[in-house]
Amino acid sequence: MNMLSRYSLLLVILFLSGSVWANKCLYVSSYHEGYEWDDGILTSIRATLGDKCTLEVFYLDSKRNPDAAWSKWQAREALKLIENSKPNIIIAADDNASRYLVMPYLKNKEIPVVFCGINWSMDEYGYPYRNATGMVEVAPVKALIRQLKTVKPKIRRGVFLSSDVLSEHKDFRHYKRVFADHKIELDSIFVDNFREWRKKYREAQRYDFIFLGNNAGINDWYTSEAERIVDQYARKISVTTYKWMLPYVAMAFTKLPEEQGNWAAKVALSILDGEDPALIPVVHNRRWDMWLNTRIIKRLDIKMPYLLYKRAKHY
Amino acid sequence: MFKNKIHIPFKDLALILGIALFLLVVITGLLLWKDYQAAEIQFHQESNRLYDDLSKNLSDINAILNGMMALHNAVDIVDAEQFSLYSHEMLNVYPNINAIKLLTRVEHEFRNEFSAKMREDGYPTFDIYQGDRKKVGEWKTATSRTIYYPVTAIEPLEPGKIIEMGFDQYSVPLFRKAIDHAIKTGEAVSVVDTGSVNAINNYMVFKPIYAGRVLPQDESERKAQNLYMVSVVIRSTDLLSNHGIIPDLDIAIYNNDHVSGEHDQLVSTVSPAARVEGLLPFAEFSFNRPVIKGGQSLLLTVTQALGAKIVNLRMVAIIVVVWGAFVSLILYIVNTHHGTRKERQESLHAWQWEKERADVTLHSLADAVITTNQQAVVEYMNPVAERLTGWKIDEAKGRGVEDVFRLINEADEKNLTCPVHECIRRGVMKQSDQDISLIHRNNEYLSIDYSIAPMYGQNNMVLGAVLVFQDVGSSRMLSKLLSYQAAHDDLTGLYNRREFERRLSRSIERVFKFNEHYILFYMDLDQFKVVNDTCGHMGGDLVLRQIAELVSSLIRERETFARLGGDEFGILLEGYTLDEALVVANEILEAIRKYRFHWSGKIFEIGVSIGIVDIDSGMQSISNIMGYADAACYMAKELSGNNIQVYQIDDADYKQRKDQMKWVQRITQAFADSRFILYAQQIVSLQDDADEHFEILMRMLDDNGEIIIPQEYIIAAERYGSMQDIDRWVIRNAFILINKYVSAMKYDSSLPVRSFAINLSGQSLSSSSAMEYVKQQLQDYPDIVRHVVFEITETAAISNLVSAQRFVSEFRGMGVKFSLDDFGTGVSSFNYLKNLNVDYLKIDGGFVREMMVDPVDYAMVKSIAHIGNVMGIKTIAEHTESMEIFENLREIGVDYAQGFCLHEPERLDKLV
Repeated sequence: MNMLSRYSLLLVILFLSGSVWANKCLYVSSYHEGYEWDDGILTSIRATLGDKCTLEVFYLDSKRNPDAAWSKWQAREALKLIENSKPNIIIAADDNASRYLVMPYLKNKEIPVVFCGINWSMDEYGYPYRNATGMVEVAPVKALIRQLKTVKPKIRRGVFLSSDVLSEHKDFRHYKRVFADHKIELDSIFVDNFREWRKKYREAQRYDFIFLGNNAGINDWYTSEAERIVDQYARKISVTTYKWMLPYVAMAFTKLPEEQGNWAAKVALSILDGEDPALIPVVHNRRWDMWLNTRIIKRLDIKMPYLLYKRAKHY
Repeated sequence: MFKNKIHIPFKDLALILGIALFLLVVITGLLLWKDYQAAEIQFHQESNRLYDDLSKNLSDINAILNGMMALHNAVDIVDAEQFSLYSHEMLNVYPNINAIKLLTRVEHEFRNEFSAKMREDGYPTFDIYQGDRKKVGEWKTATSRTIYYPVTAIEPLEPGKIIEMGFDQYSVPLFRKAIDHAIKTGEAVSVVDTGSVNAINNYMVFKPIYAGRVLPQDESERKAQNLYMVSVVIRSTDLLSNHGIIPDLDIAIYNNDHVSGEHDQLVSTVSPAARVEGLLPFAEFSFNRPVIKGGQSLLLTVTQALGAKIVNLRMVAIIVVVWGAFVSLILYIVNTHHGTRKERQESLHAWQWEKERADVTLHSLADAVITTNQQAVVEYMNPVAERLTGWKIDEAKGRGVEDVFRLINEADEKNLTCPVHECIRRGVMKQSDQDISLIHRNNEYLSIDYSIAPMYGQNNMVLGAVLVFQDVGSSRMLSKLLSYQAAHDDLTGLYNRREFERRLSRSIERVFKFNEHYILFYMDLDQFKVVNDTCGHMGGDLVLRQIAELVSSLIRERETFARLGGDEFGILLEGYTLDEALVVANEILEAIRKYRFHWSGKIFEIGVSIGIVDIDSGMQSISNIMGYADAACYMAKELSGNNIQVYQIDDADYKQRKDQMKWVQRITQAFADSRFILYAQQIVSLQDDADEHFEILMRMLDDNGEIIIPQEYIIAAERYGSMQDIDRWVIRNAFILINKYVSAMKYDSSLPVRSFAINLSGQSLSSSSAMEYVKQQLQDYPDIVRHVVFEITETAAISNLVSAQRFVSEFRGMGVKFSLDDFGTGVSSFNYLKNLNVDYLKIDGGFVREMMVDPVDYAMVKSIAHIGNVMGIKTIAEHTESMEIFENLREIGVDYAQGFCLHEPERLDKLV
């Protein structure tokens, strides 16, 4: 073999070992670019996958377009993309990607699926499938109760105030059970517009504490007015598990989208390395951030335990 | 380099070699002894270090286990969350540790309850398993036993490790013995795992955790009070983290099995090959020492066979270096006299080869190459240069390069001086920096790019130049074509909108900086739609081309004239006053008014509406100026068309147009913020229809959550083309709610049959994509088809008659009903009614509202009711605002009535 042939062969080998055989991953998000939670998941996926997989992204955009017909339409578009692009693996983030894409079209198919961000229970999507595994999303409610009790040891009855959407009802069922385990009664109020939220927030002051659920789903949410209402009417300690609800509560225990993304990407790489998805158990998230809203704490004149005050992030 | 021969007699040579050999033997012996002593010291140092490593690792494991005990004592019950946090930190501190696991003791009677709790707590696929997960058929739900110790938490959480979740370690006999022994003694117990799940030859330590804060005293209590086992795993190869400094040490580690008392081999690096290689069998170093930490007991043995590896490195090095140098010297001298002749031959060959290679390279180049001497006389040309210039090398050689390489500027076709001379004179590189052509010997032009470099000799003297050039004709043509296409409209050849806006932007800057004067015309053809509808797109395209030519002939070539889209054109006049521009505008208006378009024997007249903006330095944004011009044009059109309007900043009508534009932004924002809500108003039956009918209405919320009625924004949406988006939103969301109601009807027979009327705009009626969208939505909700009525206004239907007929016919075929809204407002309403196959007529509210006071309105309502009755079309009276009107409508024979006195609109989601 002469020199030229050797170099040509080397070039061919380099070429084949590079772009041609690079794995393709498709990330299907339930929401849209710019939605804080979703962006966090994607950033983490990108960081973990690095150059081991070429990542394509598709948004179902179901938060801004809540009707089922839209999501079904988008899911069909995603399916077309899958058929054309032929990714090696699909990462499906949050409930609607599983509901509208994975369950109807990808269940037990050849292509492996890693899901993440599914709230509490995956039963309604019929998981586990032969070709799917992933991470469910649970709120750090035990930690929240533990710290809430260090601040207000006598609490007995609280209220969960949230938008009237399916995932919040789903969350509430779990919260109620966990609070009950700690001998705390948790009522619920679900609203579908801001006016109602404003009214119910004031009424909720008769409880020992207020647990604020998501405002996504309250389409006329009015940020500055909500902050004003809280500043004016808050009398009781309030908590949340959503970072974007932090302006309206005293304490927050927030889930980290990066954990979901990191796990999904790690599992995806493991499957691309030959692991059988059916053998990887579904797990739940375990990390959270602890936040204190000093503005509200000061307003409510709450004395925070020193350790909690030092350990939490301050908003 | 040796130039002379050196002669050494052979007998002297032998003596030198003999002495050298003797010295080498003596030195080697001394070095061997020294190496032996050094190796022994190093062996013991290394063995002690290995022992320290091992000892440290066992201490680390104990530290983790004791920490876990402390955690347990601190919080009573260690839950998975705390375990995870603690273990995560420990793994950061002790990176050698492979995994930390929590094994929860589960009695058989609580097994199902426990598994259910784990599933509820975030491990939805949790079960207690046994067997080997990697082997098909062997991984299964654990068989019934009295006690299980499944893995319930594991760190680090990695896909390769999490597969152990739920694995009952008690199902493995080796682990069962260790767990039992650990519980019995309360101590840590170590085992060597040689093949359980995901573990090959791992060192594992189990430590029991009991209820309460004090270690239970006797064995039976310890058995009863055990809650968990903590298991720490370390790969056997990681036990000796620093192993590897002495490569040929034979190391073995044995675990002292507490139960059997035997020593299980954990690590072995013994290399049989190393023993065989030993040259000195009497010399072997060895080291044996137990490591005992807590309940862990290991035995470390280290041996090293002495052999070639100890001595060979230095010895071989010395022998090779000294003998190599010596022999090389002798051989070099012997061969020297052959050297010089051979070098000369090789040098000649190399020179010839280099020359040949240079020739081949130059001949093979795709670029043309000409070399010249210091006087710019051609010395060499490659075949490509011959082809591009038309000169053969034999003819060109000796000629001045300017005869062969003649250039012109493509822009003005002027001859250029030959750049080679300048390159030689100044001694600098030159490259083509404009579009130039080479003149071929046959006088044809050829687009080229060139570069010229001076050739330097000794003393930095310029000896000549190398000229390299390429034929770039096709790429330059392509680039020109692309740049033309990017700036021009395909149909008319005028500038396109992008180029127009680019030039407008430049003009704004010049107005601002140099106080120059520009006038903008925004022109919209009148009655163009008639041509397009009647003659089809081919006819329409021809009109646009002819108008473009007509207007081009009326303005200076330097003006920017563009087609902005559809039948809209823009002109940017440079240096005109407003009065001068008005003269031009009137000429254009007059020319287009006189223009006649002939098609298939028919003659069409076209008009134009012109909006004019006198650009001043206060107008800094393209979108503002285009907006002003558009608004002015729209005003001109509203003033019966074929008109000119000059934009004036204080004009109230312009403000209204600007307000409308703001509405478009507010509508877009409202979509983004989901601030639209659906309402419904009942259409009450005046006869005996048991079914219920509703009209779906849309409401928008402002930033304060207050309702905005549609009249305020629908006009803007219609004007600026947002109606299709609104229609789609209404259809999508209305269908969801209608489907909800229809689904409920299936299970509750007491619910009345309802139909829901949805308004469709003219824009949607004439759009094929809207039609496809509706079709797709109806496919998604097939059950609702018979409950849907589309309302189209009479004016929208008339202005898009062909599209409306197609739309109605397509969906009526599927079962959808249609209602003609605002009926009676058009001039020939009854005439058009025959062409539209609708189910309902909605009598325009203007007639109904006044029917009790205006006899003409009364007659109109009555006539429509009569016509509807004759044609079998149901009639609906809008704006029924009193019960008096309601009763009269019944008497006249109107079928339905709708109005605030009958039903105030309410939220559709509440209604269904």
